[in-house]
Amino acid sequence: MRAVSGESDERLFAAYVAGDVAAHEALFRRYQERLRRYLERMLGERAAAEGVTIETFLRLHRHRRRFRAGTSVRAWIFTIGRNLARNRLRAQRLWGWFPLSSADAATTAPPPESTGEVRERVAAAFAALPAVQREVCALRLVAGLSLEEIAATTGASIGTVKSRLFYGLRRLRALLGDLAPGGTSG
Amino acid sequence: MSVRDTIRRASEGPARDLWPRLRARLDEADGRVEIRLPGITWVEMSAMAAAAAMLVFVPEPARFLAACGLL
Repeated sequence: MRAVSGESDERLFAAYVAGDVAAHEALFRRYQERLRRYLERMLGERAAAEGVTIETFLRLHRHRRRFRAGTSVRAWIFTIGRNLARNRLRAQRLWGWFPLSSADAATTAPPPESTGEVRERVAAAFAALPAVQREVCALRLVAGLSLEEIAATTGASIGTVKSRLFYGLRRLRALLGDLAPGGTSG
Repeated sequence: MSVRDTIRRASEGPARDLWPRLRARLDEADGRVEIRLPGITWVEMSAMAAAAAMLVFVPEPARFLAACGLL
């Protein structure tokens, strides 16, 4: 297998579309964890986040030839994941199989591995944010996307993204400030 | 430690490799024949509307179609 770890997303994606399985695997491994963390913040549970992560890459595979050169592969991956997560949340609300709000669910049913108080507090704080702020904060703080990439992913303007991030962070600081003594400004 | 750092650290869990699951799903998908029906455009909608209208407004649809050479 040739070295693919240092290559750009776009080059990896081009190789993957041309049939290079190693490039596909490298691209997946590069994003699986970041995407899963972002989706976990959005959906409130790890198992669902893993399922949607796989579904995202299946969707990407199905539509891989539709990728337009010059756009960001990373933003595209997160856009697909975001849309799938939103569909899932909408379906849960529509059918009423999930009678608790996502905020209640995250507070009362933390992921199994999140046993620490900090994890529970962070999950509850994210769940307490309005959906649009939660999404932007998760993309920025958990997935590490740039403001431009968040704007491309969410379809909002940079100004809107900045505003949502500002208010979301302010709320998170208010909820979690005591966990970061002396560092509430960050 | 800042709130950002707290969030980042709290979001880090034991990583689970999902690649084998994705590969299995892709292999499964490769063996399946996907049937895609063409999308319904205004042309198909007009044709269906015309057919439905004919059944409603023409007294003897079979005779009408035969007269048109379609039956």
